[in-house]
Amino acid sequence: MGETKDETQQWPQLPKASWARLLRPSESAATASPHFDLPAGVQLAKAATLPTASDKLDAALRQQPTQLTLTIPADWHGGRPVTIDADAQSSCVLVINVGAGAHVHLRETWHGRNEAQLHLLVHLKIGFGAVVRYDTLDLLTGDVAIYRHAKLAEQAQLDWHAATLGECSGGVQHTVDLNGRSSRTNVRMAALAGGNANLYVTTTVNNRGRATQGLINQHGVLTAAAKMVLTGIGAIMLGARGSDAQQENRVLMLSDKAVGEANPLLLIDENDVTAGHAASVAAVDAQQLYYLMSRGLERTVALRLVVRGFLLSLLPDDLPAQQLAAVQNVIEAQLIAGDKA
Amino acid sequence: MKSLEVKNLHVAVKTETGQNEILRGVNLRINAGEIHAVMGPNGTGKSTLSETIMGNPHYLVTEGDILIDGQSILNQGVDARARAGLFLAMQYPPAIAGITNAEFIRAAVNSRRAPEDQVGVAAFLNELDQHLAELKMDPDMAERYLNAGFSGGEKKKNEILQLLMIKPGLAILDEIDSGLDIDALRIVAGGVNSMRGPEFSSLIITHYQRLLDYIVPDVVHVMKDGRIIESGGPELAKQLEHTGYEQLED
Repeated sequence: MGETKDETQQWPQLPKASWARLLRPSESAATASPHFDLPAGVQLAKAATLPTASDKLDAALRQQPTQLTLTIPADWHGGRPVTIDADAQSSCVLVINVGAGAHVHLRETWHGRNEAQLHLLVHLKIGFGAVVRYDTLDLLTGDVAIYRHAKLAEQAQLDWHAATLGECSGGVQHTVDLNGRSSRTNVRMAALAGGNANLYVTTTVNNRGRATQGLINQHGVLTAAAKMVLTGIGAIMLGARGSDAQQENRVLMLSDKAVGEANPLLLIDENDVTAGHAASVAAVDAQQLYYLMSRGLERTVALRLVVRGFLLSLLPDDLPAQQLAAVQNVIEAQLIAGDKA
Repeated sequence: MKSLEVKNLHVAVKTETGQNEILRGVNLRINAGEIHAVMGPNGTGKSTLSETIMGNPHYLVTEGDILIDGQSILNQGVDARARAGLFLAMQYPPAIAGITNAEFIRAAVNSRRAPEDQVGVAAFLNELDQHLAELKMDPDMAERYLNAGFSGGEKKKNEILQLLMIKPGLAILDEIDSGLDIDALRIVAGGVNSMRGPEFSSLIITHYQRLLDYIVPDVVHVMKDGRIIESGGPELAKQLEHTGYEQLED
């Protein structure tokens, strides 16, 4: 792993493909803007300056007219989540600064379809000792290039539930840099690719600081003729002594025509660390299916429940009813379409 | 359901080298309203019998038949058998995250009702709450993911909760007493006893006589080496408690 390489001149690592090839032009100008619901004290403004681009994907996706900064002040403890709701025409750059010691719950939902490629770049900067819950739901159809990049200071915590569900092609890159000592993250990704989707989903956690902990747990489901490469990258950099990188990537195939792959990568440049991974590509759990059917559920119904459970198990259990319904509808629609395909 | 009949049932499981025969000619008839217990040492095929009646595809019927009300069910899948009235309280029910207990049980209840006769949410939750209370289960168990993070005892109670909600014609209880403390055992037995009546029958698989103090069976069978070698009344279970299984000969 490239401590010696200049990362700003690299694309994020993507097995079996390259971001240079996945990127397509976005709309010349976004036709919509994200909608924000902000609790008191949280500020939204046009981004005056952007953080330095961390790599070539970052540089490519920041060519957007809509550039916004959301500021959560130091020590802010709001009861209510910060809500960001956007449709696929709202390509943008979003900078979220969470001040030291703040506790915040961010909920970001994307939905709809875009004729061009949706470009979304999110910079999430988490200050000293801040605790962030981050829920991202991508309920999109069409082509996407999504890059969410979190950087954690000392003792910061990020609890991230991500889902990308639908007939969606392109790439989703989620990166967490554990820069500060003892910072830690738990990143989950539930990905469903249906129809003719061709999607690359990558979750990367870079342990840069000492005694950092990174957990990745990803579940992917493929229906119909979808293709998906689900990659988890846990990288422990030189100097990150006492760090831990764990990951699990599981892919469920529901169709003979679907092509799925689970890639766990562990890149360890330091001694005195712990790391582990598990990966599988499999059909549905026969024991679970048997159990549900033994209560009278027909096979197709039982199958849908098992698959839905496989994905929902990685989503937060306090999703608002409306969002939960939206998620269930997308899953249901892809499974039904998959049955007919 | 008026009767379940098992006739000369031979069952094998696939192994790496071929097939291993576990049941070697089991005969059994359970009429509506009757509670039967099957006892026997480990590895004699008691769980195989339960799973085969339910229709677990892992077990292969090589000879004999299983009939509900005189009709063979061998060519029916597990879900069709469930809708015909069978229920199996499993020894090791799996956990399924992402599906709430309540949602699953409601789907199960509705799976045996006509589309125009589906049970509504309010009525369902009412009855569920009542049974949760009877089984001294935390009301939160309804909204938790199916068996996920449940203790051994909670899983067993959850099987009985499903039994009470689904109201099958015949319930097979596969070692429902294992891992239960005495209080939980009483509660679970109370749940089963509340189902007793002319429309309900049960096949109870157990190692120990203790469960049968709480759920008194009409008939006790002893299984050994894949066959039922002796049948009798509840006194047979008590006698076995003193003599053990070793004395019994094929």
